[in-house]
Amino acid sequence: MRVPLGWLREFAPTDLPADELAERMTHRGVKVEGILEPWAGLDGVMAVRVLEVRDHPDSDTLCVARINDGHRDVELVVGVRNMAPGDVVPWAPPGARVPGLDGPLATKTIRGVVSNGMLCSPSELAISQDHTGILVLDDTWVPGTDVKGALELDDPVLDIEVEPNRPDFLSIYGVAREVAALTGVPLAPPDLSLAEVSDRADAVATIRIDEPAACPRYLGRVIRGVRRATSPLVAQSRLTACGMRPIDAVVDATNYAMLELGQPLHGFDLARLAGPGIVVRAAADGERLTTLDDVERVLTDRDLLICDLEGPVALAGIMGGQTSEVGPTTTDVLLESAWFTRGGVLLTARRLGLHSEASHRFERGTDPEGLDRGATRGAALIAAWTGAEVLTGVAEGGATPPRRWVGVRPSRASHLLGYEVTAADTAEVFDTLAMDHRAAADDLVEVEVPGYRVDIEREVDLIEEVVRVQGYDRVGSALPRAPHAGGVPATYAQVRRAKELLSRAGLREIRPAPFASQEDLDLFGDTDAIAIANPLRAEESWLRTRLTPGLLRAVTRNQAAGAAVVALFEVGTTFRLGDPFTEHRKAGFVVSGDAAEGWDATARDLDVLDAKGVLAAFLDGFGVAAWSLGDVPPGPFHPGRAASVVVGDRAVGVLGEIHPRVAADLGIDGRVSVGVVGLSSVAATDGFTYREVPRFPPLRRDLAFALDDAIPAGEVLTAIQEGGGDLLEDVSLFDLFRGGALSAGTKSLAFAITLRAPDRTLTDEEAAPVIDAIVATVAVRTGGTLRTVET
Amino acid sequence: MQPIDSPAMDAAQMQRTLDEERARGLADAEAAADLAALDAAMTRVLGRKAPFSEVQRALGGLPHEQRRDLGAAANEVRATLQAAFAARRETLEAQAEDALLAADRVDLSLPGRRGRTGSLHPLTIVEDEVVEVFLRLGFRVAEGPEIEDDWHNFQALNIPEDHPARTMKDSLYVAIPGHPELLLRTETSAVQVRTMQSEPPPIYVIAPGRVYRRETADATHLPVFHQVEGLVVDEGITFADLKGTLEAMAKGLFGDARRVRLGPAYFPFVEPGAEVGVSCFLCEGVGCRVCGNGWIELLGAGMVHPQVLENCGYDSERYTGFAFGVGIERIALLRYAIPDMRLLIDGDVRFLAQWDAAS
Repeated sequence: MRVPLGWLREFAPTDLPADELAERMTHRGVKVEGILEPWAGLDGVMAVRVLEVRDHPDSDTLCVARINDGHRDVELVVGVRNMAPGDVVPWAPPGARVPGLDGPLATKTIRGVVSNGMLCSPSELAISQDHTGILVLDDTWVPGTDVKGALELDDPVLDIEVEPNRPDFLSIYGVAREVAALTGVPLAPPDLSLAEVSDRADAVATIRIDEPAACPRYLGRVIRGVRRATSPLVAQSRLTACGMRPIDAVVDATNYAMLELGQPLHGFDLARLAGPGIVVRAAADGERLTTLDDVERVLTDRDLLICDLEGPVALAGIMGGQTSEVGPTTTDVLLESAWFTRGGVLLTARRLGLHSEASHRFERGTDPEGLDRGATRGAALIAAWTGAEVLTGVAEGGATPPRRWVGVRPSRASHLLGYEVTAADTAEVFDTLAMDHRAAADDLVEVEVPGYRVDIEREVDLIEEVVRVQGYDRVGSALPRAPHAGGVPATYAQVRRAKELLSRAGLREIRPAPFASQEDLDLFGDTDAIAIANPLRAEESWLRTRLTPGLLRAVTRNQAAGAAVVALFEVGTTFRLGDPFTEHRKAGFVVSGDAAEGWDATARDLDVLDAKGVLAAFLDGFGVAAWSLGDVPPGPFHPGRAASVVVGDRAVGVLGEIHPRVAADLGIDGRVSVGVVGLSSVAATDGFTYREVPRFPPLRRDLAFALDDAIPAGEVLTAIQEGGGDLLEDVSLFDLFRGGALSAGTKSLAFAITLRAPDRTLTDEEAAPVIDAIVATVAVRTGGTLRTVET
Repeated sequence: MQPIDSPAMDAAQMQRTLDEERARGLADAEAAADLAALDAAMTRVLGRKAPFSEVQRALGGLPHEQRRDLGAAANEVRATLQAAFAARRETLEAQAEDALLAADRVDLSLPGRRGRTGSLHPLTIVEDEVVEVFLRLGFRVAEGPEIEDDWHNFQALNIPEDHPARTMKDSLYVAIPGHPELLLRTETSAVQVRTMQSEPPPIYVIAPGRVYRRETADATHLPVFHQVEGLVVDEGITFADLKGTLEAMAKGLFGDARRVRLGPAYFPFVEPGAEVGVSCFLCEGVGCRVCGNGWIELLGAGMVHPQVLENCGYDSERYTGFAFGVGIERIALLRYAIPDMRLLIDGDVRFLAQWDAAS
């Protein structure tokens, strides 16, 4: 809501400067977002009389005007010629400024004619958007008068963010009420003077309300003899400053009255109604109405219609219909002032995506006591601005609801606010707000709720008023004592642990948005993704089913930015359709690029074994000892470099290099490997207990085996473990070798073997049969033959 | 054990030889340039074929008195020479070690070798800090689903279907057949409701999590962002408890000198509602480019609306509580002077690497 300060001061005549007022209002919950100056840059424009308008000697479109500013005649070139000799118009002389132009105006020569400044259109003065002609002022203007001062074109405008619970701030008068309360200036009543002719409105129009719950009261004023006119310039400039577009006197008057008092008004052309009867009823399912914006609306039985005796003429509280619109030929107007209750207007407006200044107010709640006042003010303005006459009284249906009383216990206020609030304090607060109250009991103050305070329903609403008026600075500071120690659930600790392990493994965490595109889903052929019903962008059409596409996207982006190595992880949620949906927490990572650690290390690409190392460190960190790699999982993987991750007999994740063709399609250069593990599958770690640090020395042997290249190293490892029995403490691969003396299709694997007994120093004699058993088992299981033994 | 065929040597000769060998041995030890030369010199002077050894062998043929005197003299020469060679050896060994280490010198201006550095995302770091503050205050972490139903996300929070607050933020709905009530949660406040439904008071929880809005990403907005929701419900909880708790958070995150200011604000699920400002940590509350007037508006909060307590089955007369929701992105932007929120979701390693010191 934009509030021109001059307009506000008509009701709350405070002399506080705008910035100080804004701060005090904000402190009171009327949040001033900014102080606008729509006319900043307007300076030196004055009224002048046009003496002569003649053709420009060297142009078909331009003309030359001679004007008088009260002292002297001046000539200038003008681009339009709607002004005539004798008219008074605004003139920006050389040196003057107007809002639309950066610098001051100057004297310049236009096609051979010296032009001094310019004549201004309404839009150049920011009075309205009209730029079709020079603004012609009325005869009362004396040449030489400063336009800015006379039209209040120097008024600051408070830009107020109105919270949805305080629709009373959606009017100048409503804001003035709060300003009066906080500054102590008296609140001036709105101007409701109205001269009525003797004919009665209720003899001309009738009102019938079929839906009293949605429209408890509806009234109409009848105005006759409307002539087409424009509204006064001050009114136009205020409407413009409030963000509304001046149209003509009738429309402007309804808007002006609405902005001033908060009551939406709608004018029907009486001649275009089928009979002067208004019916307020629910729409029939499928019923149609073409609204003012020339869109045919298909309605449901939850929508409320304003109808004449034949059919719908307006969507109640939202927008008028095209057939009954007030226009240039309108002479008689039925002015609607109604109370449409909140919910219905909001649901219809939302369903149709149709929002107006009226619906904005109705869906938040208008003052049920404000109908007469709004109608009177609107009718008076139409009469004043168009020379029309207003019939006596109103045509009406329904009734104004009685006021509610709500009680507040000062003890409860103290209990909630944490400082002492007495009955006297409470009374003082509601005196300040000009709300009636009575002491109903020892510890109970009852407050009469005015119609405009739609937010006050129960005790706590009054307690809020107490602290708002007394000031939030009254609130002290204390620290509550939780009856237990802080803690985190296992699921949260797990996420935290996963991040710690993966960052420790040399990966950087990313936190992309968890959306997916169709392409992302196609990567794995996922068909159980959850679609976003109302996405803003195609890339955000789905919730992601996996972490991998986001990780790969980050690789693409980082490589494009020149990163030589990309090693990233994410711990996040994935989503799938289920019953009705599932959410899974997963840890995923990606490695790609140069593996060299250190400036003089040999260059090498990070590959799937680097990813396996990360996976191993991750699973170790969660205490998952028994895991293995299974078959190649479905998905865009390299068929020779990918496997599912198996714990127990369950696949809990994937490890693999992305298929080189897929990686290339994604714009990724070189090998890129990912690993993903579901966090729920690594959840159950029972912790661990201390194992004795060995007291006796180990016995070490290095064994190298030659075997068929097709046999996986893992099988040899398994065989060594089997053959080694209890004395085998550790075995690790330290060399893989092909070629040399080895025949083609053969490889050599060298293992470092550690034997140890927990209770004695092993002797060579004891070790020999163990080594023999290992060699024999390897030979049986893998066909590997011992090449060397080293001690 | 003098061999029979040993050439005879008289005592005077022997004395002369001892004197000569002492002088020669001392000179040779001093002259030895390295350990090999020293070993050679030692063999030459004290070895089996050395003149000194001949003298020793000849001692046995001398009369008792001469043998006693010359024997003592020979022992003295041997001891002197051995000491000289040992001293020289020590010097040469020290020199050799120095030379070896000098050759082993490394240019320490070369870069050190290090493994790949991992890091936590700034949002994780900030979330951890917020959570840490509240764990110390005895709060427990609570979690909830990111896909929520209309009741938990709106209705239970005092936002019925026809409430204008629903249009304050546009929600992202999910298309799950038969479940039009499901949407991506717009606030972590939904976790408040789930917590209250699942356990009786007292409640002291925080709920960190991701929330969604139907918005286009720009410098200060993301369609997906993170909040930490706080909820306390107990007997006798007041507005002052809210303020004190948020002060503790502000001090924990931005330093001990921070103050907290409450101002009126509206959120449907709290009443009274408050907008919470923290005194600026850059200018100490004087007013600067970041804060303007010395205060940074940081979060929304308020006393839990009795209707919300009632919706969750709590006795709103007996129990009171407060709730707050703070944006993690907002804190991260402030803390690290990040100019654009989109940097947080881009995953650019040049951005992420800047948090190595904080991870």
